[in-house]
Amino acid sequence: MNAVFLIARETLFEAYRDRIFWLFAVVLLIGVGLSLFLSEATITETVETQIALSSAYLRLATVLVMGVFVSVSIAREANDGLLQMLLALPLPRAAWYLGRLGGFVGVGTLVAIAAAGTMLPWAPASAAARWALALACELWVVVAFALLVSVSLARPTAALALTIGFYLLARAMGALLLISDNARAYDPAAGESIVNGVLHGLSHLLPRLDQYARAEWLIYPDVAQGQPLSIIAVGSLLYLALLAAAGLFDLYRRNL
Amino acid sequence: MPTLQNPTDDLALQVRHVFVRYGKRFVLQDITLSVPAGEGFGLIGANGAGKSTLIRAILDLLAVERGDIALFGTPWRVAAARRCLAYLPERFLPPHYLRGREFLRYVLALYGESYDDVRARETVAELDLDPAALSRPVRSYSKGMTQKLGLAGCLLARRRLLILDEPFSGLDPKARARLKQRLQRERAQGGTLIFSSHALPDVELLCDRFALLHAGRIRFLGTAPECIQRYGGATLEDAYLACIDQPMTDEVRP
Repeated sequence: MNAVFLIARETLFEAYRDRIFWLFAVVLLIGVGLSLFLSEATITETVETQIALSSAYLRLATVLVMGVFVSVSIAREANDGLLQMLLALPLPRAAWYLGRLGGFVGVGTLVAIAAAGTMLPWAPASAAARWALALACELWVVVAFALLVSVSLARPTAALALTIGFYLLARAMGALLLISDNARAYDPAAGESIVNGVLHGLSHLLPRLDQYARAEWLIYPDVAQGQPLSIIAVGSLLYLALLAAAGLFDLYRRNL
Repeated sequence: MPTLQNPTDDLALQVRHVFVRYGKRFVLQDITLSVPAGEGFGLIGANGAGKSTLIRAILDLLAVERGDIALFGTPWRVAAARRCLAYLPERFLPPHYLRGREFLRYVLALYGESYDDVRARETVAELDLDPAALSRPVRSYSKGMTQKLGLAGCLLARRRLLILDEPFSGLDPKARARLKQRLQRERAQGGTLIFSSHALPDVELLCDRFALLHAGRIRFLGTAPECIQRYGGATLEDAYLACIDQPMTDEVRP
């Protein structure tokens, strides 16, 4: 447990020294600037448009930066020989994996809190807090997936591409299902049925990230009160555990 | 899990009939050797002969197809078997975002050892690394300096067995001489040393015995004089060349 904590702490330190938090600060500033520009450009529902666009931008930007951080960090550790040195210590491989995962989850949580902070001028604190928790959950799932593919593929470009693909598919799944269900209702041909079946199958495997950190939670806080945040949190922890189990399974059978 | 019969901790390392393959190709075949505690043992061979692969197999970093390995009598698949050793990989680079001192502190914490700045400064100075460099970021280090820092991490861990993969790589002549002195001192204090190298004089100086690997097999196992006697020539280099030039049927079984 001590080793897991040490490795997690080192990952947080790596993010700090690699100026990942500065990079996020720049990303957040761009988001705030975008919001201010839009408030000048729109005629009606200025604040609502501002929140919708900047929150969507922040979600995507934080996911991208975290994906890059995880894949590059893991690839560098493997290429530099540090991974071999650490795994030659009298520790189970799980200690390294869980330590790295814990560190990335910690970085993601800090980033989500900072992103929600930029929403405070336009949204109530309670709504921003709910949005922050949901964004943190989203980042936990993303970093767990990025860690899994980074360790398995050992190629940062491929790992990042897969992470982005996973995220976009999970984010778009609600819309894809809607389109597919409608298309099938109007044209019940075999092709549509197969596509519909594949999409429904995928939707059971993927986390429904389209349900996470929605802009309307910030725009209409009263509506957001009814959203089942606990389901999102529990579901994310479940995905985190499943992705960690998959990563450990792969790590234990891997040659290094 | 395969088990070793009659394991003994008089032997720092015991490798029996180990086979390792990548895909369909065997990269280690029927490797058998043992290293008594306190011995200096070298692994020599051409590039791709299997030296680093054997070291990684010993450390359970890759899957062994067949055979058994034990470290001080404990089967290698058990994490606790690595409690007695410190390892430096080939082409090692400490994390670029750390300072030298922070790297040593981190590694020693993972070894369960406390960091002592006086000892750390003495150790890096012995390796011809300026102690002032410990305050600088690793990203500003040269190749040789990163190697020295990695070696210092292993030496400060105070383990009974040092496994070093190409420890002299990237070191200038003075640093090589200093490292040899330090490793000889480790030996004199009862430590066991296993390392791979392309430099035959280093192996002659530091090792009681060595294994010559070629194409994934042990072609010779013994002392330098025995190697010269068996394969002829005036130097170990001559004997080495004669050994690897012989066809595989002349394989010497340990």
